Amino acid sequence: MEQPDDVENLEADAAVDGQGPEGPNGLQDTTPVDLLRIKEQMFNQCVEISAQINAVENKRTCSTSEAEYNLADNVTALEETKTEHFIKTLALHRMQMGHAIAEKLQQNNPESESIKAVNDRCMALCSQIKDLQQESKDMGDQITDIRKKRLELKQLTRDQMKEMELLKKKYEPPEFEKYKAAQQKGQSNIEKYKTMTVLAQNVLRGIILACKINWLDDPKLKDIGMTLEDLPITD
Amino acid sequence: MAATLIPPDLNSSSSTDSSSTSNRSISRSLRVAEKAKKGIKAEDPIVAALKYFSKVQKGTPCRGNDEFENNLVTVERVAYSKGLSPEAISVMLEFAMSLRMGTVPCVRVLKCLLPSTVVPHQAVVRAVVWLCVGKLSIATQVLFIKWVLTVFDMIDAKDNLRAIYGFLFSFVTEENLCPYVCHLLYLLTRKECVRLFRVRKLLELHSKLGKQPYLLHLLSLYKVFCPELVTLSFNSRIRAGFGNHNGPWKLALNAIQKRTAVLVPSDLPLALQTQEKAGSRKRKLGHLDLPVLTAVVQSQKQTSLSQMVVPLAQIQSFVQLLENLHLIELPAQMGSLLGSSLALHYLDCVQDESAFLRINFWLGHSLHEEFLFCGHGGASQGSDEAVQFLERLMSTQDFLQEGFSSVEAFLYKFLNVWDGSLLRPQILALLSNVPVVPSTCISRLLSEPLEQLFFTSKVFFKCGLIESLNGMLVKWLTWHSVYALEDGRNVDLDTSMNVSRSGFMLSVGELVRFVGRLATLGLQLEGCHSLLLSFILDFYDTVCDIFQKYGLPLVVMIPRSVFYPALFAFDPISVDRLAKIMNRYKINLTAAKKQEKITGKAFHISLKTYQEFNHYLAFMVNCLWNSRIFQPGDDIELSEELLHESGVPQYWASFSLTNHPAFHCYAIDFHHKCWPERRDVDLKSIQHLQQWGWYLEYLFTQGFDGLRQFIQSNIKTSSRGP
Repeated sequence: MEQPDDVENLEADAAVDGQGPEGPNGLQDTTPVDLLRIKEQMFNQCVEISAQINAVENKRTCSTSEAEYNLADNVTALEETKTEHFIKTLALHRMQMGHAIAEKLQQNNPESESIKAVNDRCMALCSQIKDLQQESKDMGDQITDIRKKRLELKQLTRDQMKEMELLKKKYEPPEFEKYKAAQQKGQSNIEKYKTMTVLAQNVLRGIILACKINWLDDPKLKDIGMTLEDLPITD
Repeated sequence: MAATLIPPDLNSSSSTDSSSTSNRSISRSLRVAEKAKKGIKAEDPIVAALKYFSKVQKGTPCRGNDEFENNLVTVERVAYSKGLSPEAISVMLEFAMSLRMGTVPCVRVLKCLLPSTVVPHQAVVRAVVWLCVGKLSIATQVLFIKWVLTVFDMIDAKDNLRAIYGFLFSFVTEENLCPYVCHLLYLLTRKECVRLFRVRKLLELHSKLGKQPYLLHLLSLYKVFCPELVTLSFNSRIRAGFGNHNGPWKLALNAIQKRTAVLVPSDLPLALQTQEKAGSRKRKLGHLDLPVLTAVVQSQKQTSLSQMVVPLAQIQSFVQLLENLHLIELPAQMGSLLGSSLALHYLDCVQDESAFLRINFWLGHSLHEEFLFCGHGGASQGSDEAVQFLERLMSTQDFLQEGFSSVEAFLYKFLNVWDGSLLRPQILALLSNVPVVPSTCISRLLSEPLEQLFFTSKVFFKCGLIESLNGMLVKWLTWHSVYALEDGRNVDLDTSMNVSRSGFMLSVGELVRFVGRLATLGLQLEGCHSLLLSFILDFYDTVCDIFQKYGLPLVVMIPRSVFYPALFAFDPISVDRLAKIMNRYKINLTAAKKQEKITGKAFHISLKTYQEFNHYLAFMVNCLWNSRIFQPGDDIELSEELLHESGVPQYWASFSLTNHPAFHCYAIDFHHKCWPERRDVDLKSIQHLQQWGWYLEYLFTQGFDGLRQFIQSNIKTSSRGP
């Protein structure tokens, strides 16, 4: 830390170098003022140090997000190293095992006979497994092909339906122009009466509800009440 | 009957306890005597009880009325043991909702209204009308609506309920009732019910109550029917459903169904023979059973002259479906569509948004609310139901070749709480049907829950999961290869899938990387288990061919942690498959380079991929053919001292085609066939040129096609042997 050195230096200066800032005279001149100056300097330095410590602390708290970022990298690096170690250990182990089994097979004792039997069984199983795997792969490919075809069919169906919708919209009945006006008038009439009907139905429903009676018991009210949702002509 | 003996002064509240007690005792003894005389069956009390409730006069006090108490207890007993018959339901519901004996018995009766077969619709309509009279307390009203929601599937016809849609709608303003009424309206709404004033009312409530999920659901259904009337826009997936309103009846209903199913096993086969629908009705009451396909309008009357709507339930054959394609009306209970292939055909052709919305809603509800009940049933019957339901769901998804968004949402939630063993095959199969997930969501939705399960499970789960993810990848790639015909075109399949090509490539890349990580760590955890390795190699079988087979310009190299365990494996099949995979990689990479040259379009395969591939190839050839591995500068470097310490002489040849632990037995076999007279096996003699060629032929006849293609395409055999 700077402070003790500076203080020492100051003291050394004050002590050794007799010439204080005040005057060339002896120690008596330098002591009170210089001491005050030293005190001031020390105070400033303390403030500086505390400021620096605070700054360092803040830096540490800011870097947690950095630490997290580094964490991800470190985890990856760790996993890579683990993988490398694993692979190398695996290679060594397999090499040694292979060699040991080969050595064993060179000897002609009962153990090697049993190993040979297991080997033969393994070879037979391997060819079976190969056949089965091939079969399942072929079937898997067939399934994927069928799936593809079905998806294509779906797309085709949808395109056709869209076309049909377009055609339907475009279709105009013959002699459309002649009756266009009449049809439009009729349509607007229907709309008007529909609105009136809905309104009337609403009002009736409101009345029935406000009366707070059991309208099912009265046959006339029942007829009205049960048909308040019906419109003779739907959209 | 005994009732006639009691003086008809039940109206007056002056019927004292003493007189009623004596009357009761007289009536009871007489009744008992009559029973003994005629030998009546045990059902008589319930008939008597029902008669009492249908005839009791208004204003009869219920407190201190023992006859009422006994009859009610009888009814409750029958209800909880085998459920009430439709007539009983009518009588009891009428009694309760009319408040003939005050409000106290109403709640009690409602709570015991457990139907055994169906609920007659007239009773429900009458009850709703009593609701309109407005004398019930709010809590009772809520209870009633909850009951209607619970037994909704058992109501035999819904058209009369639809006729009073407006009356039901008027209850929406009641704040406590609003959620339940909205749910009920959701189930009953048809296009004709959507009126402007109703939409306005709902929007008003929406602005008053805020974004309540029940309001949003109902509004979104209205929007689907009449988009021009509803101008609000909704999140494509409103996650929260209507909530579980089953209350006190669900468990009791469950128990009743189990009992009735057990009690009538002999009836089931008969019923199934005569009419499939009636037979399934007996099992219909299981809450995960798909409801029976019934028509919306039971009555045959035609309300209008021009529009004749054919209910889907009446369509019996495909030809009929084609004839009436534009006139079909969907049933009230959308879940019933999942059981019928005709219905699914119809759904597939006519992309009816409202239908999908309703099906998704029903599926979401069933999966979230009902499924969890089933799994913890304890009885094997419970989990059988769940298995059947999920299998039905899977076959529907296979039929339609697309998944449902609600199933996807459920799956993501379920994976977070799954223990890895409950219904494993079904859940893994459902997982493989998940459509393309945006790459940013893969880690949150799939990686996190699956990693947790993967690392803490047995090797068989690991294999199953890798297989399921392989299936998922294949389905994504197949879908993409059919639907993305032009470059850069946004594939817009349905409202939930809007994936651009680059987004799709990112997703695939992310998935492959995720599985690569699982594979790396899985192999390390399980010590290179051969079964796990086999499934992982299956996955890379798919990955290596992404470009050639599916036309997606993406090549992801096999990671080291899978390559080396496969190369050093004990079983020759893994080595052979690895060779095949390397072959396919080579073909894909050369094709990619060619395409780049021809079309000039940049094919973004990084240099690193090519370098990795070259390293692998060089290592493999050196290893198998040149007997030269573990040399300094190689891909795997081991120090000299370590190799000496291992005690293996000539370690550099320890993985050649003759010395490799996987092929060693073949080498020995070949040696015996070649030199039968020799006793000591000297594998070096195989390495002479002629014998080497024969040895290779021998290996190829054993079925190692992968090796054969590898050697033929990478090694010039005209040169000398190893």
